[in-house]
Amino acid sequence: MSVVAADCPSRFGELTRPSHSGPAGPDVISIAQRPATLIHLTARRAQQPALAAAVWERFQLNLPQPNHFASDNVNTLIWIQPEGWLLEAPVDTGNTLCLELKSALAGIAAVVDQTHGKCVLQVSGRTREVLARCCRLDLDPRIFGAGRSAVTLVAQVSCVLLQVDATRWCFDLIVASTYAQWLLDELQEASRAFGSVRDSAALGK
Amino acid sequence: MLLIHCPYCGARAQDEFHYRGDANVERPAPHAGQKAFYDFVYARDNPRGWHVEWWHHYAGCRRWVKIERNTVTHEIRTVKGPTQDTR
Repeated sequence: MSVVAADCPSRFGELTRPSHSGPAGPDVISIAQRPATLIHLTARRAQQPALAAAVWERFQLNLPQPNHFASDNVNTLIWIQPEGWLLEAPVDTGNTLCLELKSALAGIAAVVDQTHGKCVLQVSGRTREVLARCCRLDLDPRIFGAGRSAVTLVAQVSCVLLQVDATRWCFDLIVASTYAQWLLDELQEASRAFGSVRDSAALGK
Repeated sequence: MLLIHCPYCGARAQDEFHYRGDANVERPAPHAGQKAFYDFVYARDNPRGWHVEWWHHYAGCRRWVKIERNTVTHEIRTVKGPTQDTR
């Protein structure tokens, strides 16, 4: 298994390391932290059409239906609750974007910066088997295809789960930053049964 | 383990929810007296059979849902949003 943490403020410190799933075998799962700006948008009462129009004008994205997300590979909008969406934007947009949205959406939606509270993990590889051990949802592409998202429990912590690529079982997990290390430990533990070797020294533990 | 069909998220396992009590309880009028308020705070029915109750989908959409559950068989007949009438 390989774990790659981003250079800038990472919850995992210096966790960049190569495969540990045996001398020649591929990684069981790969986990990479992706720095991102995360903004929670909640439509004010009866203002959802206005929010949809404003979001379309700014990002050219439709507000996704329940349990789905919409993405143009730069910005991603994720449905997380009735009348509530999470916007994932490039990390360099940061505070500027939040302030811009706050003024543009005044009276239309509540805009809350979640960048420092949540952390995005990209998980790929044998995620089907690994996630089956710590998440109760049926993640088969026939039911949970590309473009589907869910707010659910993974390893007992609340996560936003995005099916990014159904054919290769690539998921994004958005988790509270303070639970990121726990989730990483749990995913590593879950992948051990499939041949992943846990290297405590490399994890600085 | 109950499988609860959240009206917003779909079928989810019970461990994403917290039980939040009897949904039949109604707050008495402000001057209804001490007995009425004692009952409102403490007294609950313990029915055998169908029961309407609040559950909070804390690990999903974070909405409260009103569930009609059979306390004998654990069958769930209806799941509705907080403002929808269950009966």
